[in-house]
Amino acid sequence: MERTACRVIDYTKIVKEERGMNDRIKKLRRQSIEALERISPERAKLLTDFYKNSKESLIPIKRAKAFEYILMNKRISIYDGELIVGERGEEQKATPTYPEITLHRRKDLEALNNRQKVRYSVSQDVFDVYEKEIIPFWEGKTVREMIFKEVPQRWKDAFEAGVFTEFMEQRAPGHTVLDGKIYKKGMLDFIKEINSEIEKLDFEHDSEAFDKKEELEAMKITANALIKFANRYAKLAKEMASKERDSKRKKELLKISEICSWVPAHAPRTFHEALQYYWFVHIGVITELNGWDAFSPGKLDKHLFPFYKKDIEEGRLTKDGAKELLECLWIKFHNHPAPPKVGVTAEESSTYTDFAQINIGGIKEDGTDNVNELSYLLLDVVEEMRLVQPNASIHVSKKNPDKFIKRALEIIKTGFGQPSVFNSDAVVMELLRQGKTLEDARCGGTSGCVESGAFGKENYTLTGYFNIPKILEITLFNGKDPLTGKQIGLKTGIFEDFETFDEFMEAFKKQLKYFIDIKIEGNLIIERIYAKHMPAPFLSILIDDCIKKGKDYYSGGARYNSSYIQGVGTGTITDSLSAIKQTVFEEKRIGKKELLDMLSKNFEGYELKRQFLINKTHKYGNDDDYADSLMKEVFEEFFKNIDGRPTYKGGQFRINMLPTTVHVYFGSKIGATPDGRKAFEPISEGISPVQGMDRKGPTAVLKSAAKMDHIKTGGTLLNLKFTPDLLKDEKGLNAVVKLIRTYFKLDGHHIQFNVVSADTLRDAKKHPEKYGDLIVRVAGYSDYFCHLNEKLQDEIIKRTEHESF
Amino acid sequence: MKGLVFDIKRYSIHDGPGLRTTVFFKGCPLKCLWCHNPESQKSTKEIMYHAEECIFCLTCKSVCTKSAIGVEKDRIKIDLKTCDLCGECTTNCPTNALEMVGKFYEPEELKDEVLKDRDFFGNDGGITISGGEPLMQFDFLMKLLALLKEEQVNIALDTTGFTDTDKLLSTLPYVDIYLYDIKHMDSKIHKKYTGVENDKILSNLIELDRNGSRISIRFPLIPSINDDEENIKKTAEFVSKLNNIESVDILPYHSMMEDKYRKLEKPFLLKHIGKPTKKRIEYVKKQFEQFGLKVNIGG
Repeated sequence: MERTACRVIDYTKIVKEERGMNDRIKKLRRQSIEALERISPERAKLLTDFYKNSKESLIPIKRAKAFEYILMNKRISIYDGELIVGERGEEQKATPTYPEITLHRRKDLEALNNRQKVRYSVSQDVFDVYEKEIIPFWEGKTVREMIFKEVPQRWKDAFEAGVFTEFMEQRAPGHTVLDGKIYKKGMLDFIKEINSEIEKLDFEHDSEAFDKKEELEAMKITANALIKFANRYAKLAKEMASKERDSKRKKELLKISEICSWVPAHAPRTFHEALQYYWFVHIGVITELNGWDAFSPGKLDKHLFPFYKKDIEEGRLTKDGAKELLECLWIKFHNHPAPPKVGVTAEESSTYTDFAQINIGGIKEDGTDNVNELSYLLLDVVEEMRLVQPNASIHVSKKNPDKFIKRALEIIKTGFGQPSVFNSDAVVMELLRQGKTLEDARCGGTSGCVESGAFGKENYTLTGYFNIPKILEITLFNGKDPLTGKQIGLKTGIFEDFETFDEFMEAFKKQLKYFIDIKIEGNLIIERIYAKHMPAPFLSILIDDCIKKGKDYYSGGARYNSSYIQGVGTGTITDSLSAIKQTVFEEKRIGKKELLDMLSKNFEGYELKRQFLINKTHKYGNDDDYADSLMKEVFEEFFKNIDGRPTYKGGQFRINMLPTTVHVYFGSKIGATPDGRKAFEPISEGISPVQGMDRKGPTAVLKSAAKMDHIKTGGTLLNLKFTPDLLKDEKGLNAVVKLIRTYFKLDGHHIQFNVVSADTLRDAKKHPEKYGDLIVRVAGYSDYFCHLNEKLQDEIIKRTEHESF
Repeated sequence: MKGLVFDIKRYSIHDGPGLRTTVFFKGCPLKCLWCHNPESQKSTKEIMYHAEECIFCLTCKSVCTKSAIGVEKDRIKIDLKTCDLCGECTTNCPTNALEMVGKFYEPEELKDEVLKDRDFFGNDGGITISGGEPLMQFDFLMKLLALLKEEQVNIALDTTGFTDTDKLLSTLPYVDIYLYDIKHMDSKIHKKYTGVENDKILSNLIELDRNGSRISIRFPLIPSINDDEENIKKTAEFVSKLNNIESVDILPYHSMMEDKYRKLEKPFLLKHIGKPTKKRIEYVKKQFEQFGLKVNIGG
C-alpha cells in the first residue's frame, strides 16, 4: 500500500533535521518517527486465546488473568541504545486493538489501512488472524454491541443526528493521571496493602465483602503480573549483555537488567529507576484497556525532583544524563500511537496522539511554587525533541516566576504548538468547587486536552461532546432535524409564533434540557456496563481509594468520580442567538419565515442578508456584552442542567468546554446557521470565537472568553493564533506574558498559541512536501499539519491572526 | 460635550510603555504628506470606501435620502457636497465596504471604552491618547484626562506639539508621559511637508521639558525628507539638550497606508518614496546614540 506523499516526505525532512542531544537519542528518535503505524494483532490474539481456554467465572479475576496472560506471552524486545525499555506492541508503533470493547471487522481494518490521513497499515496476515480467530470469537460479545443494544431509540436518533458523541462506545473510560504514589511504593508494597484489606474484610456483616475480595484478588494478580513482566525484561537484558561486544552497551544492558529486577517490585531509588517504573506502569495501563487519553505521569518535575537532586548530589547522575533519560522516555511515548478508532469517533478525534500530557510547573500540595531546575530541563527536552507526543503543558500560578513563562514562550514561538498554558490556580479552584480537599486539589492538574482532575485520586471520565448549535437548529424547526426531516426533539413551538426573543430562548432551553437528559440516560447505561463487565484491576491499584474500598476504578473505587459532558460550539451558538435577537426580534430586518427559508436554502438567493449577518451583528470574542451575555446565558443553562447530577458509580456529572476536532464533524451535521455560517461548515472550536469574527484583538477575545465562569467547568479550551513576529522581541514577549497573566487573573483555564503565519499555512497546504514537520496546535494537542484533513487545515488557516497594531 | 474619535486600538505595544489601549482623536492642524492615518486629519466624520469589499448590491444608493450616491465605472461614488454624513449607507452596507470614520463619544462613555483592557495594563501599561492632535479638542480632552486620572491609570499623550502653550501645559497634572513628535528641524521644510512651521512645536517642547515631564521623542524617518545627516544631527543635538527625554523612538516610514488615501479619495503625494533600509535605520539610530540618547526602533 502506498503511503501518502505528505508522510513520506515528512520522514525525509525529519531525518534530515535530526534532533536529540546525542547520537543515541537522534537514532532512537529517527527510528520512532520512521516506524510505521500499524495494527498489531498480538494483544487481540492473546486475549482471544485466553478467553477461549479460561474457565474463570469471576469477572475481575478473569480480567486480571487475561492481563497477566498478555504480559507473560507478548513478544518483548530491547532496541539498540535504549535506556528505558518496554513496548505495548511487539515493536514501535505496532498498535493493538481491544476486541472486548470494539471489534474491528474487515471493513474497519480496510478503512484504517486505506485512509489518507492517520493511517494504520494492516498486512495480509493481520487480516487473516482477525478473520479466522478474532472476529468469530468476539462477534456479539463486545462492550460496543452491548451499549447499542441497551440505549433507547431516542438516544440513537440524537446520536445519529449529531447532537452528541459517545466516548465509551469504542474506548474505555480513562482520562486519569498518576500522582506521586509509585515513587514511594513498589508493587510489593501495594500487594501488602491489598492483603491487609483482604484480611480486614468482614464477610458476616459486609454484604459486599465477597465482591471486594474478588476485586482485591484481581488487583493482586495484576500487580504480580507487572513484576513478572519487568523480570522478563531483566532477563532479556542480561542475556543480551552476555552477547554484547561493546563494553559500554554491555554495562548499560546490565544496568537495565538490574533496574528491571528492582522496579516495579520495589519503590525506585534513583532517577533512572523512577522513570523506568513509570514506564512499566504506563504500559500496564494501556495494555489492560484502551482508556481514552492513554495515561499520564502528571507533574513529572515535582515527582522526579527529589531523585534528580539526590542522584546529582551523590554523583550518580549529571544534568545531561537526566536529560538523556527524559528524552528516552519522550521517545517511548512517541512509539505508542492512539488505539485506532472507527467511524464517527475517528472523525471527532483523528490523530495518532494519545493525549498523554506532562504537566510542568504549577504548585505543590502545600501551595508553594513548584517550578524547579527540572521544570526548565523538561522544557529543554520538549524543545529539543519536538515530537507530537507526549504533549507538554506548563502550569502557571501567580506564584510562578515570569521567567518560567518566557522560557515556555521561546518554545511556543518556534511554532510547534507546545507547550500549552494552564492556569494552575483556576484548576485548584475548579477542583475545590467540586468538593475536593485542598491538598487533593493542589495535587491535581490537567490531562488529555485541558481536563482538570485530582491526580491519583479521581476517575474523571469524558463521556462525549455535545453539539449546542444543533439544539438551536432543532429549536428553530420545532423539534425537527431539518437535515433528515425526522422529529427528534420536543415540539417547543413554531418559530413564527414566538413574539419575543425571550420566549424563543425558553424554547431553546427546553430542547437543551431534553437532549442533555437523553445524553445522561445513555451515560448511566454505559457506566453500568463498564462497572459490571469491564473492571480494570490494574488501573485500580494506582488510583486512591480503590484498594481501601475494595472497589474497581469503574465501579466508584476512586476517591472522586466525575463524568464530564463537553459543550461544543460556544462561538457559533452565541453569534447565532445574537443574530436572531438583533435582526429578527429587535431590528426586524429579517422576517421569521424568511430566516427559516434562508437557512433551509443555505442562503441561496440571500447573499446580501448573509453578508449583513456576518458583518453587522454582535459577535462573541469582541468584548461586546450584547453577544457575550448570550454566551453566558447558554453556558449557565448547560451547566445548570448537568452539574451535580448523580452518576452510576456514585459521582457527579460535570461540564467542560472543549472540542478536540469534533467541531468539524458537528458542523457537518448542521445546516446553515443564523450567524451566516453555511451548511456543513465547521462550527467554532473550544471557547474560541467563530473563526475570523474576533476583530478587536487578543485582549478582547480573552475578555469575552473570561465572561464564562471557568471555575464551574473542568476545563475550557481557548486557541489564539499568533504570527511569529508578535513574539519576536522582548516587548512582544512581555505583552504575551501579560495576556496570560491577565486571562488567568480573570480565571481563564487554558490558552494555547499557534504561532505561524497564515501564508505559511496556505503554502503548506499547497506544498505538503515542503512542510513535513510543520506541527500546529489543533485543539488541546498538536499534530502534523499535513496529517489534518482539508477542512481542518482550512480552519486553522482561518483562525484569526492577531497582528500587532 | 462630545469628542470625535476615529479609532480605538487595544493590545497596542508600540505607543508608549507596556501594554496599552490607544485612542485616536480626529482632527489635526498638520497635514503631513506621509501621514499614516490620513483619516485623522479632518475634524469631521468621513466615509471611507473599501472597494475590495464592495459587492455592488447598491443598498447604499437605495437607502440614501440625499441621492448622494452614484456609480462610477467599477466603484461607488459619493457626492461630498450633497452627502450630510447621516450614516444610513454605512449602517446598511452589508459588507462594510462603506465605513463611517469617526464616532462621537461623551467623556464618560469614552473612558469606559478605553478602560476595557485595564486588567491587562499592569504597572507600566495604560492609555495612550493620540490623534490627529488630541489638543485640538481641548475641552473634551481635559474632561477625559480628569476622568482617567481618577481611575489612576497611566496616561500617555501623543502630540504634534502644535498647540497653544497654555493648553499643552494644562495637561501636565494628568499626563504620565508625552510622546512628542519632531518631524524636521528646518522650519521651511517643515512647512513644506506638514503645512505648518516648527517654531511653536520646538518652543513648546522646551517648555514642557522645563516643567519636568517625562517625554519620548517620536521621530518618523522618511527617506529624502528628513533623513539627511544635517537634520539628524540637528534633531539629536536639540533633543540632547533637554533634560527629561526618556528615549527617541525612530518610526521608519512605510507606504502601507497608501491605500487609505485612495479610499478617502485624497491625493497621495509620496509615491516616489520607499521605506528606509535596515542599514539606514541602524545608522540613524547610532547617530542619535552618539548624543547619549536612548533609542528605540518602532516605539
